[in-house]
Amino acid sequence: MRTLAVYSMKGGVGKTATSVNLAYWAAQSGLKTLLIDLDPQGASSFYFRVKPAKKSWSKRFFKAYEHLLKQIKASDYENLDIIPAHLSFRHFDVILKGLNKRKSRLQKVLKGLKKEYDLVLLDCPPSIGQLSEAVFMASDQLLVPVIPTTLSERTFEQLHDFFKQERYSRKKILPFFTLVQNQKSLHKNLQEELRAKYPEFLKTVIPFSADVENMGEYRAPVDQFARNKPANLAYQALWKEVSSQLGAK
Amino acid sequence: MKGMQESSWLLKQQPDLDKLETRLLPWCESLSEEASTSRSIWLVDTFDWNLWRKKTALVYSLEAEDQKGLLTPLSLEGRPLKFPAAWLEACPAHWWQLPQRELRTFLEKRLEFSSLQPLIEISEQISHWACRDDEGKILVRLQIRNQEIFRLDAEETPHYHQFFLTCQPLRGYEQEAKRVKQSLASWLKHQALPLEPRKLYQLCGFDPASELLPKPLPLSAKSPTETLLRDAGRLLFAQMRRYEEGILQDRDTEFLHQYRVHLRRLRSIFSLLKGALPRQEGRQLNSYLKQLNQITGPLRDLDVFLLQRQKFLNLLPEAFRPALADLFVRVEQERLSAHQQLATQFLSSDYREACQWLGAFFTQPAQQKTPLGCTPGGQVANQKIWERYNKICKLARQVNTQTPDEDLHELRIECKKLRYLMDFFAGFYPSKPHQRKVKKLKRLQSLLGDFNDSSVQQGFLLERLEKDTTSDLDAALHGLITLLYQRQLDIKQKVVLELQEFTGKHMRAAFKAGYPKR
Repeated sequence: MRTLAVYSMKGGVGKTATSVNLAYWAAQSGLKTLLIDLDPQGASSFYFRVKPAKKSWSKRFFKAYEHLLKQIKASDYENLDIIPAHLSFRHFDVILKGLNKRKSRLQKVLKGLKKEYDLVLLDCPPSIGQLSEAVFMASDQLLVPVIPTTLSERTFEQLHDFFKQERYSRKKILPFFTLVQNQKSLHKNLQEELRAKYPEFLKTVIPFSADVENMGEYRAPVDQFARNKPANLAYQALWKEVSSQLGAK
Repeated sequence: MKGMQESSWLLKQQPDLDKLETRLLPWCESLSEEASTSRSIWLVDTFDWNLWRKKTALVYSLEAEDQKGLLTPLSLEGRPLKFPAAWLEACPAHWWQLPQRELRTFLEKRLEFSSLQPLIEISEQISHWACRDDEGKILVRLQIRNQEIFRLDAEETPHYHQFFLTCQPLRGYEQEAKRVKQSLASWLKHQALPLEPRKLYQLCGFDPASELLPKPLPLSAKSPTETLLRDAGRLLFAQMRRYEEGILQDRDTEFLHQYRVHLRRLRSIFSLLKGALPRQEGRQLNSYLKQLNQITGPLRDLDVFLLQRQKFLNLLPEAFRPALADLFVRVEQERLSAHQQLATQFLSSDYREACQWLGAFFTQPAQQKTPLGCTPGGQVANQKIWERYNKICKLARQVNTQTPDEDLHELRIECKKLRYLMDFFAGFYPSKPHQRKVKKLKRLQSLLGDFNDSSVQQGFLLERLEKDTTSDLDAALHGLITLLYQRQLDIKQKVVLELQEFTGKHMRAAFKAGYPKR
């Protein structure tokens, strides 16, 4: 079982759209996939039409994997299950703070899922704290969407520095450009600069697209309603590139 | 996963969709058809029902437009077995055509050299339905299956129609599935699996038990021995002739093998109890049975050699294999002509006459002209079994690792005779203790059989040495004969040990108690 997190401390960079479409393509490729929506806003769950549990269970989340098993819901697509987010997940940082061995807690509970799943995909909230560090420990790879703008560049560099400072393996970080508008010279130039500085940037680029925004209306992965559109083909290509990196590990 | 299993109901006709919707709408917001698919399914087994006899079945299903189909082992009740299914481009005829290890081993044990044949075809149309909630999320999936079923062994057979409604729960939506299931259960009464081999066989009129020889033979201990012989003869002869068509079509080597197994059983019981028939009739019977044995022998000898192909090739180093492989190609050619000869014999008037005489003989009422023929079988059985066992014990005393091969050959024949007697009279004895002794005897026979096979194979190869003279083949054959000889010596040691157990104190006491003098 491999664990892939889609993470950025900045909001609005397309983490959820990436999680939803990548989880969909992983399942389509035959991998038994579990998408865990860690973001209390629950946007991934919303896109898959999965309602959150009525009762709060965030305090049990890090205790044992059996608690996770009880919350798993089948999606409408073969091989793809979901653990929907709950509003109470906003307390994850506080909950983790009260636990010992907090950094490895998530890794430990996820281990219990390896009999059932080939891939666990974590859709993370935009922050940096206890939960993020648990995610850094638990993930084999950290997929980081970066918009080629100055602010996004700054955030990405902050993440890099944090990994260096806290001695996490920087090899885990897999950045890729998203919401790209190549007609803008800033986007073009920044992509070139960042690729020169960080050769680990993935080749695939996700273009800015109304089809991605339409996911909210259709409540489905892009492939379900815009099969031949560039955004869908880009997500499919992104999954191919990511899966070859995951498999090589 | 527990609590997540599908539930299916058998329907007499296509379900009324309006009624279905009325039933389900209290539990979901909408019911909609998602897709429709079709597939063909074949239920396969061997001619002798090797899988059915082990309470299993094999299903090959191919979705429309798919390149590969799924081969799935099932219980006769339709439950999947623990072995993973295999994806294959065609339904296999033999276990060795399978790639996957577990399923291959499972089938190897059950099929040996018997080929699989499709018996029933099911053409299935499936429409997929979804029950959704207020946000459009699927809560429960439903399938409506329309099956057209027919057996494949006749040109004109009736087609049966069946409909199934299947409820498929989804993880995390067990409560919703439970409600849907309860609602359907109160409406549809007949819960059943859509692929239940036992029921499909019944539906198509297959009755495996009636095709196979009953075990033990249904004979009464009170019947005179001659009557028993004729009754058993009739059953064995009919069973033997069942294989003729498969031999003529050359479907697999097992048809001829089984033909000869039943022929041998026939010959042996009549020879072991020959005193039960008037001498003249006995001679005539023996002459016809011998004739059948002689015409089928040459092809079987070649089959036995050819079946060892992979084993023999594996025994030799790479460099010697091409020459041996060439020999196999030549023997295959010989086999073709041997098969043609046998087919000609089977279609000849001589064969027809022999079979007519034998058929009439076995159905004739007993003449009861000899004392043994008039004696009830129950009184004969103990004595015959004990005498034969005793003879084996006497021969066993002389056996050690230095014993000449001919003596072991004689011992093998005696064991065979004892086995035929024990099988013939099996119905007269309590099953467990009798079968325990038969099991021990089988183990000894298996070793003696290996010993004999090794000896016969060496003889066959020596004969080839005289016929085929290329130097490469010479080297390969010499190497092979040496290896087989070495193996024969190893088996001999095992035979000595097994024989000591079979004729030892405990077994002797068990035989004495099991088959006492009357």
